Amino acid sequence: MSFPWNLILCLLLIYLLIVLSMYAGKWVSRLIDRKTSFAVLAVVLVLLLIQGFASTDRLPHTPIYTGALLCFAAVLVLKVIENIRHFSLKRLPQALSHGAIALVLLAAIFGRGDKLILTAAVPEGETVGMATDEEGVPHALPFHLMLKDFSMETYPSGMPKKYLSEVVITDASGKERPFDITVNHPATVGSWKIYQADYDTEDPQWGTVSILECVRDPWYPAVLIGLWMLLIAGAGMIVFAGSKKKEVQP
Amino acid sequence: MTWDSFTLIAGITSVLWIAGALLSVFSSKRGPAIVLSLAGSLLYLAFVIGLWISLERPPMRTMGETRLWYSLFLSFIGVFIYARWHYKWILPFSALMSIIYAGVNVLKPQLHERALMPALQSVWFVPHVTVYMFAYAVLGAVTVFAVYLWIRSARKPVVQEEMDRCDALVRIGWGFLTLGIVMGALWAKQAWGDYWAWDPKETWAAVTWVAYLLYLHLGNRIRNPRRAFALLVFCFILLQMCWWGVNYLPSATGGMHTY
Repeated sequence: MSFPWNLILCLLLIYLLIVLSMYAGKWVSRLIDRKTSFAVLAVVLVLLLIQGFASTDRLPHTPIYTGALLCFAAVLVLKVIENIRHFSLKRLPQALSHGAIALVLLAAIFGRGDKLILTAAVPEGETVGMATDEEGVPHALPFHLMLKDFSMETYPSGMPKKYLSEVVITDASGKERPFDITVNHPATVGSWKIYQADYDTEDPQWGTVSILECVRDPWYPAVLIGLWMLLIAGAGMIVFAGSKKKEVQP
Repeated sequence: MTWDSFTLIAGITSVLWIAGALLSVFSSKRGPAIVLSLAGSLLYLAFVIGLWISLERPPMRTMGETRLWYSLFLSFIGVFIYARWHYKWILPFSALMSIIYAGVNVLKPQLHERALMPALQSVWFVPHVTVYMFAYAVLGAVTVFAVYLWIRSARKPVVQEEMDRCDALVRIGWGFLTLGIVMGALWAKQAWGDYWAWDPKETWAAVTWVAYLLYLHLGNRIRNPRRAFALLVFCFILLQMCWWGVNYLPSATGGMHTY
């Protein structure tokens, strides 16, 4: 599911949860009490454990898995609403964690449809305007990418030390810009990021074909806010770990 | 300082830690035990810093190198808990665990080379590994604490204050796990293009993180402390799985965290 339906559904879900907690308070309070929280976390743990032993990464994309994580997110949103309505400074790290995890989960689940992770194998001196997704379906890129030079350094042991792709990118308006792309240092072109992923190891002229990954994830800013909230919440948990808190039992 | 001098340093450190642990049990004064244990930890710290300088990179890449940090943090946390709450049993346990991990490094030295592959050359590398090792050490200490209280509960019931101390340590450990997992996500986005990829190590990190959350949401911990302690031990087994057990899983081959 992609934009705008994912965003509409996400906002609708949050709206329904707000309405639910305003008009069905008693029922909702049972959904977010300690026992239910424990049960929901236990289900999530079991699902993660199954994934931990499974040797496939398709499992998390199955409807059951997504549905369970969505329920987890929904319970968290209800909890955040409760945390806001009964605000307590002492429980701020907990409340912040609930909000951060809900935000990351919602953005990850609903944003999945808008995320594009494409790879392009680019030989030196050539220009590409297409890249393929994980299923091998080609997509047009909103820019052209020319690989001027690909170079790699290795340690004496043969372990790779540095991969460098020197590229020139021409955007839709025809503006040319040079970039040096290395691992950990992607190039940013509009809403796209271009990563050094690998190089073609089966290429007969060894080390002349660079594999670049072009990623567009419009929901990442929301995830990023959630991650930084979670960093602050984690730090808060550490700092206020020893302070006595009153158990809030709804 | 290089790995060649590790056996000697680990030996001296172990003697200091054992001496500190024995003093903490048999002497009524706390000062000498703290001083000896700290001296051991500082010597170990000096070795780690020396190794960092000689390798020209942070010693955090191989399993052996992460064990160095684990022993180091655990010994410091042991001294801290002893100095703060005077538990007589903590120093022997933290010393024993630190020495076991140092001993594994003496018996099973892993690949010690200077190389750092491109993905690891990042500002996130040092904080990510450091907070994780710190979390593992705190959660190791709380597991020891929980087992102690569990065994002791047959003779003497667990009081609220002890349960609170246990909870506080879990919260600190979980906080550090959170910092580690989030830094990992931010780094993964920078290096691999996505913040979460269901890599086996990532999945097990999530398992550990959720397991400790489960503990923090367990109601009536004081009324049924044994259940709480059993859950903590279970969490620690999952943590071991995440730290090194995952390398032995068939699903981990080809994972992005196998170093």
